[in-house]
Amino acid sequence: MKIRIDHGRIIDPANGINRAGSVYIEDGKIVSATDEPAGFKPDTVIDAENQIVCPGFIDLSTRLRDMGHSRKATFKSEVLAAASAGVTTLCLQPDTAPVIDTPAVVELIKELAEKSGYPQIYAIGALTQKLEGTELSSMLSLKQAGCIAVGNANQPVKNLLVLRRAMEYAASHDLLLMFRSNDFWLGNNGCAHEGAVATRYGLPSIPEAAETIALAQCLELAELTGCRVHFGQLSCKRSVIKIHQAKKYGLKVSADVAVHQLHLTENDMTPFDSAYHVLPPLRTEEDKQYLRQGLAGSTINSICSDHQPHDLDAKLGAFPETEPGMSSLETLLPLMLCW
Amino acid sequence: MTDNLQLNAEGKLKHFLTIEGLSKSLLTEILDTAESFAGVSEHQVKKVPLLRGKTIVNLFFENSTRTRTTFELAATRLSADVINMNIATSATSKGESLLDTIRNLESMFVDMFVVRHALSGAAHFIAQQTAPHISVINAGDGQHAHPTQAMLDMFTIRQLKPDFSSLRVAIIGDILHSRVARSEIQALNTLGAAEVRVIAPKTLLPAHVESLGVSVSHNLTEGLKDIDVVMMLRLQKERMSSALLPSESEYFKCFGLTEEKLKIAKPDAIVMHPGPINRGVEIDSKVADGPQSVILKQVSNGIAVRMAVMAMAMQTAAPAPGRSGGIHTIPGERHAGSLPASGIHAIPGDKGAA
Repeated sequence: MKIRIDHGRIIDPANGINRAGSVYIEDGKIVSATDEPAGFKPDTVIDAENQIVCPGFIDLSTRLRDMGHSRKATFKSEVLAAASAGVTTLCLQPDTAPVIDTPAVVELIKELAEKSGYPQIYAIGALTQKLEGTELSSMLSLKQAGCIAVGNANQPVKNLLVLRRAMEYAASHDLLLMFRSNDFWLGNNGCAHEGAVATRYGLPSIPEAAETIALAQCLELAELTGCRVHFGQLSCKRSVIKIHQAKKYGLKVSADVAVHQLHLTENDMTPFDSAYHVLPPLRTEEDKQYLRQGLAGSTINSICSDHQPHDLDAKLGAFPETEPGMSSLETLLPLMLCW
Repeated sequence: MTDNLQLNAEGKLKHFLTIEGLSKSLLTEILDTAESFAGVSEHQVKKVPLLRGKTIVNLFFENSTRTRTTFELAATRLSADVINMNIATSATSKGESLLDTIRNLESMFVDMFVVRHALSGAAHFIAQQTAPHISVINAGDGQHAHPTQAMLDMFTIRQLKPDFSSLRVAIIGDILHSRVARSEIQALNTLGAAEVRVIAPKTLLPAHVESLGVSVSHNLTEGLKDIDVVMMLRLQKERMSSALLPSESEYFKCFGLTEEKLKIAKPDAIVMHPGPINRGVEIDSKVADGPQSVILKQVSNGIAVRMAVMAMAMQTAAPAPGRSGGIHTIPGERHAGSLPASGIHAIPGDKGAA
């Protein structure tokens, strides 16, 4: 099967392309975005006049729920959502059931990915065994099995010594750490941003400091250990400032932001609507503006979906007892284009 | 953000979930209606037939004595049938079970839920999910709201100090965890109080507390100056174990209301407390039982205010076509069709009642 896409504006940041032209696809792969390959006879020609043509997107934080929580979603249901948004590669957070902390689970994910007809699902391995934050996972084995990085998902690491050791070990095997900054204790089982809205609704709240303190600690350890770190799902102004400073200083760090954080704030939450229950919580207008600026100025390197599909029951209840997370793969592209 | 969920298309009260978003005139209507009910408890026959044939379920997921009892009394004085359900809840209980409980009770032809729940937003959730003819009254949800408590306190204040615009009110204690405080602040600001002041250590104040429309003090002796109404809040014992306070005795030393400290407030200041009281922790017995205390008056007023809220909500929740106000009429009986109605307790044959 050969496809040619004509007249579109090709945008491909990885290869520095931003111009009008044709794209040549053979058996599901782009074979050229410049010259026509010799003897290329397309079966289909798509006219992309006034359209943008991009390579498939890579989503850095996804949950597909299969294995353990298949009533919420499955690989099969979610890859369709991903494809409809132009996302062709998914990075799976390790807090699956069972946790991605052994090569066997990585193999299982590969198998499920093949079965769903969507092979580019990459596992992020657990930083610690069962994500309990106490003992190191077999990171090298996980890497050899195909994990692209290790991460803590939303789980706390019990103490800074464990985190230091984990980062040293990851660095020894040149593994990237995908870190979600959240101090469990400062988070205080909160479900909303510590601000005027949570105060008015009496919702247990999470201060920015829960994120920024954990982030600052991890930055210090990045310098100490030499571990490459990617900070996932930043939510506030002071995190953006800290990442900016760290990059300027020369640390090997990168960061992403969940797409909803670029569009919503605490003020958008209709009273007790559990759809807005996300972690990290929706913060202030100022935070949102800083996240947008951070993205425009390349302090933040990418936008992720932070896709967390749920069944209906998970969102039916009093706000604090509902499960956090939004289903956001399908809206990733439109929301990326409208800010 | 206004909360239109609790008003029907005509702007009348359908659910009573929070003070937020309700107008001054609606709050005044509640107080006026409560006044018309205040005499009922003193009559020989302590009943009016307003809600005869209606079924009200007191759905308490959290323990309560005062609130549940006064809601029950209020409902029976309105001639409704009352079912009390105390459902022990645990942190692990799921939304499904809350919803299932509601669905099951709905199937038993219930007309009103009075709900208390440990989580903020539970009453909103039930109001959103329940059948349209059912009214929901919030009897306290998590740290969010306790609107009937606020209204009975406004009622008590108005009896003694009718002009809200001249009032300076201090709310003292655990504002952070208090649904009562949030509702009091909203009610006082809506009714136009001159100042609402919160007095507490920083550990017991929520972030951005001033955004609620209050001034803030961390010092009781300074904070009590020029105060007309002193509202004390209950201090939960678990606040010590969660590192919010060092000890009960230190708290009493700093924020406990004693006769001596009360003298700093205006001489005619009244002292209120939503109960239950922790004597010697947030309030000295001499103050709690003293001449300026209106704590027991608050409890009695709870009945009339809850009658008012229930009657108003039921009137708009079940509009029966062709009848004024939708209150069902029993042939041979005569009663006022709309509220407030001072003659509401005129039951034929009950001559002593009027």
